[in-house]
Order: sequence, then C-alpha cells, then structure tokens
Amino acid sequence: MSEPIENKTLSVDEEVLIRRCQRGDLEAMELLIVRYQDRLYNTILKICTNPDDAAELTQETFVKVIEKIGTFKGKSSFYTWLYRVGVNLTLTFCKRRQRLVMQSIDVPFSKEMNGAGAQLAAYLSCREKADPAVLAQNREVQEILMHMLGRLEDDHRTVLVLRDMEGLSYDEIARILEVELGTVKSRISRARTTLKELLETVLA
Amino acid sequence: MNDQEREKIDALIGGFLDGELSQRQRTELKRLVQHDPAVKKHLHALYRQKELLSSLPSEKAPRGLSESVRSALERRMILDSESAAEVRPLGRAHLFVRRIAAAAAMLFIPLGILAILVFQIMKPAEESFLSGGPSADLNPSGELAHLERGPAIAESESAVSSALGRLILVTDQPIEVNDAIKRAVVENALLSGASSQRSESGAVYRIQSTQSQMLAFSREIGRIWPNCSVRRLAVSSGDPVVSKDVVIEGIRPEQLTALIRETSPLRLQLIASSMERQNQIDRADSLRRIGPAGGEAELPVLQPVEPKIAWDRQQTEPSHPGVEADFAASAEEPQIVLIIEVQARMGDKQSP
Repeated sequence: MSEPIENKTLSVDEEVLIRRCQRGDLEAMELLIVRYQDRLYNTILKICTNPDDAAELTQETFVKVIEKIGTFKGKSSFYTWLYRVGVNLTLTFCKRRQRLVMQSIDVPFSKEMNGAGAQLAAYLSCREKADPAVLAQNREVQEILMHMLGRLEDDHRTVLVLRDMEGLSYDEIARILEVELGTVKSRISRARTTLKELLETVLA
Repeated sequence: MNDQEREKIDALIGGFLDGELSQRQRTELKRLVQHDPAVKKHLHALYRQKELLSSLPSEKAPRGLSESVRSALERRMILDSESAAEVRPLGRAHLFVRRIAAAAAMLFIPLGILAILVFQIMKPAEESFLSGGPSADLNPSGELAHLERGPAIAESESAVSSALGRLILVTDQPIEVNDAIKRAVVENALLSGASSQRSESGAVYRIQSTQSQMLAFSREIGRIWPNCSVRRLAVSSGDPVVSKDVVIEGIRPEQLTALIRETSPLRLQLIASSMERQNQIDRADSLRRIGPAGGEAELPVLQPVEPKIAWDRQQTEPSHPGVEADFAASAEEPQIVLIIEVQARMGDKQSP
C-alpha cells in the first residue's frame, strides 16, 4: 500500500515540488494539488457560494496553473500565484452568473432559522456575550452569513473572504487582486460596513 | 456626519481591526469613540462581525480532486495536440527543404543504403550513419571514441536536448523495418544526428534532430507499423531519480507525432500516461470483441532484449541509459532524442 499523500507533503519543500513539477513529475503535481486544494476550495466556495461551482472552479484553477507551471519564475510565492488565478476565475464566473441569474433579494430564512437569527442579532449588537467560535458552528448562522455575503458586490465579498476569513495581509490581497494597497483598504472597510448594514436590516 | 467623515471613521476602524493603525491614528480613534457612542457601537459591531467571520469553519475540497485535475489536463492536452496537428500548415521554407531533400534522396538513397550496408558489414559493433563524422571517430583500441567519453558528453548533451523515449518495435520482417528506418533517416536529412548499433536480437537507432525533423521522420516510419507486432514507447520522465518512465503499449503513429510536438515535460508525461490508459482500454475492448475463441493469433509476450555489443559500458554512464552516441548538435535549436530498438521475433535474422 502506498504511503498517504498527506504525510509526504509535510516533508517535501514547495520549491522542490515546483521544480519537480516543471520537469514533468506527475507525483509532484499531485502533491502540490493536495497541499493547496482545501484552502483554495474554501476560498472559492466563500466567494462563489455554491459547492458545485466551487469544485469546478478549483479544478479549473489547478488545470490552468499546472499548464503554465513552466512559466512560473518564483517572483511571487506559488500560493499567491495560485490564488490570483483562482480568484480571477471565480470573479469572472460570478460576473457571468450575475448576468444570467437575478439573485433573489428575499430573505430565505425559515421559521427554524428565527432562533439563529435572533442569536446572531443579539451577538452583533453586543446585547449578548457569546463565543463567536461556538456561534459560527451553528449551521443556520452559517447560512445567514453566507447568504448575506452573497448579497455583497463581488469585489467586496472577495476582499472580506481573503482578509477576514483567510487572514491574508493587505499586501497579499493587493498582489492577488492586482490592485493598489489603498484600494484594498477602502474596499475592506466598505465591505464590512455594508455587510453590517445588511445584517442589521435582515435581523431587525 | 457627512459621507467624507463617515468614510474616514470607517477607514480608522478598519485599520484598527486589522492592527494597521499608527499611534497617532489610534489616539484619534480613541478620541472619536469616547465622544461619540454611535462610533463606539459601530466599532464593537464590526469587531464582533469580523470575529464571527474568521470563526466560520473551513470546508474541505471534494475527494478525488487531484484525479479529476489530472484527467482534465489530459483531455485538454490531447485535444490541443490533435487540433494543432490538424491546423498547423507547412511553412513555405519547410516545403522547399523537403523538396530539395526528396530530390537529393532520389539521387543518393541507393548509393547511401549500399554504403551503409557495406559499412555495417565491415564494422559490426557500432557505427554512425555519418561516415567520418564525430561518432565514427576511432580510438586506438578500435572502438568508438564517444563510448569512452562518459559524463562530460552526457552533460553537454542534456543541456541541448531532451529525450523523448525508447521505441521498441518487434517484427518478423526486420530487414524491411530496418530499411524503412534508414530510408527515413536519409530522406529527412538526419544523418548527422543518427547512429545505430547492432546486436544478435536486432538493432538500436539513436535519432537526434529538431522537432520539425523528428515530426517528418515519425510520419515516415509510421508506414512500418503494420509490419510490427509489438510497438511500445517508454516515454522518458526527464528525471531518472524521482519519476518512472511511462510505457505506452501499442503506440500509434499519430500518438507518437503528438508526443513529439509536446515541448513541456509535464505535458509530455500527462499525455503519455493518458495514451497508456487509453490504449489499455482499447486493447481490453478488442479482446472482449474477439473473445477467447477469436481468430486472431495470440501475441507473444516479449521481454525487452538488451543488445549485447558495447551495451554494458553504456549502462555505467550517469545520463539516460541507452545508446549515447555523440552528434552534431545545433546549439541554437533544441533537439529531441528518440531511441528506436528493432527486435526480430524469434527465429528471424536481421541486419541493421
């Protein structure tokens, strides 16, 4: 039986993997995919908000990156490069989808979700002390947040995902989105305020 | 509060939440929070919102993603190589060169073949197609000098060329197959980059050329496919330490052409492994169709036969095992190396 691939990734340096991949090593290609697939998928899912689309976009991102891996010179980190391709593909996809489907602005919360909505409202308005880690495990709270994130503009949703969920720095976000640092800061700021207002309106 | 002020406060709060404020900005925000309860409430709400977002659980990628990436890459690359083969027109210069080569071949093939045959009879151990060329240099012990040169030659070669792989052809018509290969070498002006070796079981050719020459050569030798019962290509990994070669059983002429077109080692490996699987499926399908009582003769299971002449010495060389003859390489254009091993089926004699 072959060794689990996850164990191998811990011992193999990224630079070595990329060089091996550039020389045509299929095993190295697989290790690179395994190393980044969860983070990339998670980010894409949060931006596009649909698991099937996210799976397809993640696959497409890896295909694109591996096709072009021979041109990777290591000027930026591989991770940044991968994210740039993934995020751009996802944003293009979101724009196309927006043209095809008018997203519903109705609140899709069911009665069962009212409890979660009230909890969330109490937490955000500081009326109630709650552990965010515990609240975030509530499936209904997750659905409300993801739905509201989906109502943000694509650019705003993207920076919130990269900053507040993935924890990337302003500088990394600027490189991934290929925009100025100032643009990143103002987008994050506006995105947070807009999300807060949306949540207040819905949860009121 | 006007929009400008609001934006400024939002920027300060944003910087605060991300730990990006200077001391002066922190003092400014602190003053604002102390004097305006709305700002304080806004800051607290945004802080909690950020905490909640960062606590959302991460989703795992679907299982089998790497396999589906690999399949998608293979599909796309095969489509690319097929469409490139269909669309790519022959350049005028290429056609001109081909016409000249064809005219020259008409004149010199009979003489060339005769000369090669005579030369091979006189020198059975090892020879280059190019009489008097660098690979025909003899050392004092009467053996080919390039076999003695070792690592230095191998290193300089790997800098300018990439090995495509080793094509094994098993045939019961070795004379026809060998003649066809030689003719293809001559007609495609590959004499300076080709050498051959003879063994008891067959012959080994080492062809080194540019991509366009190799494409023309592969089209020519495609004609001998029906004469060969086994057609196997071991595609070089490019890295003998970390990867295994991909062995394509029953390789077809168009597959060989597609592989020669490929310049990226990774794409080469992906296409090769896809072809390997595809050919396996095709073989299984045809066996199912024929059934156990089918009329087709059973193909013998042939072990690769190592030529005995001067072969052991080459295996000690650090680069790709195989015929490491030297060549007249062009420094400007990347070169492709293809090893062709012709094996006579048991009971047949052949001479390269």
